[in-house]
Amino acid sequence: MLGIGIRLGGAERPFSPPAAPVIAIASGSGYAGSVYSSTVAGQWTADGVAIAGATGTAWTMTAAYEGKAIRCGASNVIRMWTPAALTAGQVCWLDPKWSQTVAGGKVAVLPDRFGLCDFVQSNAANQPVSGMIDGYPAAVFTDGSAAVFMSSVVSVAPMWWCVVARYGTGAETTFARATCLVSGAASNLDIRGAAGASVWSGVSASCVDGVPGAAVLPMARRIVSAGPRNATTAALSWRLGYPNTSLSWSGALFEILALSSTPDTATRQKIEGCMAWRNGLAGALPTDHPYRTNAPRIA
Amino acid sequence: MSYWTGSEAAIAAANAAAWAAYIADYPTAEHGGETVANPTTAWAEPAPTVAGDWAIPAYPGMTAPEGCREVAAVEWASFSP
Repeated sequence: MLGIGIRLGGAERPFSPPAAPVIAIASGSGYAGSVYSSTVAGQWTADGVAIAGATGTAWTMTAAYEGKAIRCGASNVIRMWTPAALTAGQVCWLDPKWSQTVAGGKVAVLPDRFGLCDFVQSNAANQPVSGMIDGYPAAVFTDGSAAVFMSSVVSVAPMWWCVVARYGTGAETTFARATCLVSGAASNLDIRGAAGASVWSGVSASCVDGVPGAAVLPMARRIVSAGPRNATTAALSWRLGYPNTSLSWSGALFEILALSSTPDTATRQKIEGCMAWRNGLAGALPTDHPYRTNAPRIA
Repeated sequence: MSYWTGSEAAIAAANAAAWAAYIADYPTAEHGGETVANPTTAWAEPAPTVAGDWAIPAYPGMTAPEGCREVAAVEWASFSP
């Protein structure tokens, strides 16, 4: 045993350096809204940068710091997994919980968390409504006189989408009409449900709440993922919804992720775990899902 | 919900008037907790109808501009799924 003896007043006492703070997630999943605690008060940091005003023994995670390495002084690190940790394949990650531009109650811009491809709608009549459903901010696509959709600001080639979405009122068991969740600017390049169907038409790798091949309806608020039909690696304009009322999305979007290839199972499950915990849907994951009990973490 | 229909020029003018009214009603937007200028650049995108004229969604509460007619529904001229 290594130790340093210090003789004070004739008695030798072992020297014990101050214990390093230990941080833990006191409540919540670790994502925004979760409370982090430290055994010793200190300056909380994210990726080594001080978080303004965070100097106590407790700190509440916000969306801006999700995915960053959180420490309190010289403590251990807690870092939640987010799609920002993917090493390749990122196309866009849109999330009204993180940021959106709202004017007149409607969503004009959904900024991309990757910083690669924002989605916008410059026409007011075609903008989704900024809403709050089940306590979660959402872009609400309503049937009306104009098609509600948002377009990518650059051409992209997404080959796989994972979306937290609601269709209609959330109770419908079949699509009332053909309805596109997302669409590319080419014929039949989309993820759509046909009138009377409860599954997507012609997509690949469809997965719902972590279950491959499951029916997508009813879709009160579910994690749906799939590769679009007629997928192409050509870069095109892509839309959330569809620019025609006959095919536009009817419902709400809570979070949207697009990748340039279908992820492997382990990566898909991390994405599902992240989306589930960030959207209050962990309980919807199957019991054998690796992130049903705990959210995915890097550290 | 209703539409304005009319000639291409009349609908273009109506669209500009609707956008001006919209920006007057909502000059700013909220972005990341900050107030910014409303980035919306148009009211709507005019589209042709089967009747040979053009149409846009009506701006709520605004009287149909000169040369335009307000209707409850429109049958669009082109549709390519």
